[in-house]
Amino acid sequence: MCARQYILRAVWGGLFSGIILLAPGTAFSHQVYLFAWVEGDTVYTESYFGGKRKVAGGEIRVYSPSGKELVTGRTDDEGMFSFPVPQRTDLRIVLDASMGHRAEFLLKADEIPGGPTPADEKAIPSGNSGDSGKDPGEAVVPDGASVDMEPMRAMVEKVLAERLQPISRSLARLEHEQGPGLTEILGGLGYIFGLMGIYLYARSRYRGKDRA
Amino acid sequence: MHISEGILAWPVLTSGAVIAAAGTGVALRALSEERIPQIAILSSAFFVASLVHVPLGPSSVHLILNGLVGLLLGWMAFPAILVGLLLQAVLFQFGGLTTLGVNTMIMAAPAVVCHYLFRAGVASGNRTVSWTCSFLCGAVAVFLGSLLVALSLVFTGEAFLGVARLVVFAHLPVMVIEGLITAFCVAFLRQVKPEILEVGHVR
Repeated sequence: MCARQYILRAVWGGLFSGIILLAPGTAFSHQVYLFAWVEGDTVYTESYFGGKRKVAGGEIRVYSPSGKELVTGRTDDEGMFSFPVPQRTDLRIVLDASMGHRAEFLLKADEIPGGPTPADEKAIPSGNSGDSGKDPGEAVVPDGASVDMEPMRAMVEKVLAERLQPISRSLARLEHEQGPGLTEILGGLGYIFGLMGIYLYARSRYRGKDRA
Repeated sequence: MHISEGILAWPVLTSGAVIAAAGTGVALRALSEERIPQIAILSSAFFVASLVHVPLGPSSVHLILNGLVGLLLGWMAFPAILVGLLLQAVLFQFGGLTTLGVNTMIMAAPAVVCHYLFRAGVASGNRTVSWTCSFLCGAVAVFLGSLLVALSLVFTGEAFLGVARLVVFAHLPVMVIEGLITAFCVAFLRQVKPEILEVGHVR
C-alpha cells in the first residue's frame, strides 16, 4: 500500500508546489497606474492596470491647485486620454477606473512648456516683479532680436518636444510605477512569520512565568 | 477587490472598520496557540495570492483565496486577512490604510460565512460531495465579496445593480479559478493531512 500512497502524495505535492511557485511569476496585478506628460499644448495621459492592461473607458478628471474641475473625459480603448493644457499651473489628474480603482498624477507646472505663467489661476501667488517664474533667457534678448527669435524658438521647442517625448513618457512611467518586486513579496512573508514568532515567543514567556 | 483610498465616504469607512474590528475581536478571544502557525501560513498565502493576475474579464482581477482561508480558519480569517491586507497596503500599495477596515470586512466576512456554509460538506466522506462543496466555498466567498464591494460603492452614489453586475461579472473568472484552487487544496489536504478538515476540529 505504501508505494501507491507514496506516489499519490508525490504527485499531489508536485502539482501543489507547482501552482505556488508559478503563481507569483504570472504578472503583477491590480494596482492601477496613471501617468501624464505634455507635448506642445496638449497633455497626454495613459492609464493601465498592473500587468500592462489598458484602462478602457476610465473616467479622468483634471483639477486646478485650488480644486476647481477643469477637464473631464474618458480614456479610449488604449487607455489614452489627451486634452489641451487648460492652464499653466500644477494640474492634479485623477483616474477613476470603476469598481474602487483610483489613481492620481500630479503634473507640475514646470513640466508644462510655454513660458511664464499667465495669471489665470488666482490661487497661485504671482509676484509681478521679475521672479523665478520668468524665463531668464527671454529677459536678456533685446526687443529687436526677439521678433526673429520667436519662430526659431517655436520650431526648436517643437522638435525638442518630439524628440524628448518617448523619454518624458518613460520617465513618467518610471516615476509612477513601483510594482511589487521580489523584495516586497519576501519582505511581506517575512513580516507574517515574524509576527507569528513574536506572538509565540510572548506566549511561551508568559507560560514560563506561570509555571515558575 | 481592494478599494483604493479616497473613494468611499467616511461612514462607510468607519462601519467597515467597526465590523473588521469586531470580527478580529471575536477571533482573538478564541485564539489558541496551536493555530498560530496555520493562521500565519494562510495569511501568507492570502498575501501572495493578490499578485496572481487573472487575464480575463473587462477589468483587472486577481486571486483572493478568501474562501480557502475561511474554510480552514473560520473566524481566524479576520486576523489572517487583516495582516495580509495591511502588508499589501504598505508594500504593494494595494488598497490603503484608511480602507483597511472596509477591505478586511469585504474579504473576511464572506470567508467566515462560507466556513459555516460548507465546512460540513467539505469534511464529508463522499469525495464528490467534498469536491463540490470546496469548489462552492471558493466561488461563493468571492461572489459575496464582490457583492460587498458593490454595497460599499453604493454609498458613493453609484447605483447598486449597475455596480454589482459589473463587479460580479468581472470576478466570474476568479470565482471559477478560486473554486478549482480551493477544491484542489482540499483534495491535497485529504491526502496528506486529513485531520485539518475534520468537522470536530478545534476552532
